[in-house]
Amino acid sequence: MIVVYGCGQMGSQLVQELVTRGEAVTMVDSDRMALEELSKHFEGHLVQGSGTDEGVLRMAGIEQAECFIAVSFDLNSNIMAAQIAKHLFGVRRVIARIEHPELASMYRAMGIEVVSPTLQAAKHVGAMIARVS
Amino acid sequence: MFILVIGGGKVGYHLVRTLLSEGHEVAVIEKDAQVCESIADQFGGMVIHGDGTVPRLLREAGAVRADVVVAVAGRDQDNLVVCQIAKHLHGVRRTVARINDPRNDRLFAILGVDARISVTSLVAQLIDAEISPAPGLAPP
Repeated sequence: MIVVYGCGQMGSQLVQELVTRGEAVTMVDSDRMALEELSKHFEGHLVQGSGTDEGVLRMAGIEQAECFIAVSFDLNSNIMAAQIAKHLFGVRRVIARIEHPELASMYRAMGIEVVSPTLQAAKHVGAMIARVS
Repeated sequence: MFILVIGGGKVGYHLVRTLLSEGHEVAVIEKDAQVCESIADQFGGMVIHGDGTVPRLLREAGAVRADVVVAVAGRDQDNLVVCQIAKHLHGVRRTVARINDPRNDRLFAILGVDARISVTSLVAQLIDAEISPAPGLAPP
């Protein structure tokens, strides 16, 4: 079972991908409109509330989760949510979206897996341009 | 002591005033330009405009030589990140965080924030003490 926090473009794509692969997924976000939009093409569970709230995460089933993924646009909330999952609930795999390189390596050293989609995309486009010119 | 304060809102403002009056050296990081200006006008000294959860900014504010870093911004997640950067990237010995949601105290303690101040709990305790004063403290 996987809990995902962050119902933006990235989170929405991600949960649909995970469901297609047969995973049980719960999406957590405080934005009711975003959850409603997702519900049109998503069959997993939805929980409305803050991803940095222990009670909300418990409702989302974090105690049974093998994996927690924080990919909201609020990067410091991702960092806090990931550490709640890891240290208060003992979730085995914790992944957080962190876009600042120094913070990414700091939290990696603390046992959190980090994704930096915006940073990666910027590097990728930079490399594309370098190849063209 | 050199004390680095992150967040120049109501709590930060009065904290800076108190610390300066006690003779401490103080630097403030605040994300609102107007608030920065008013603090600089009032107290002079080092006020840095920007996001205190950016490691570079904390470095520029002198985090490496800070005796204490105090995070008193409005959001708990920001205060947590500030304290963790201070401790892990800049080797600050003592970190203090304001906590808005008292339930976050345990998490912050586990994550190494040395002192946590919950304004909500403090106010609740003070009000409770006023409503039902302890026997020894009751007025004659």
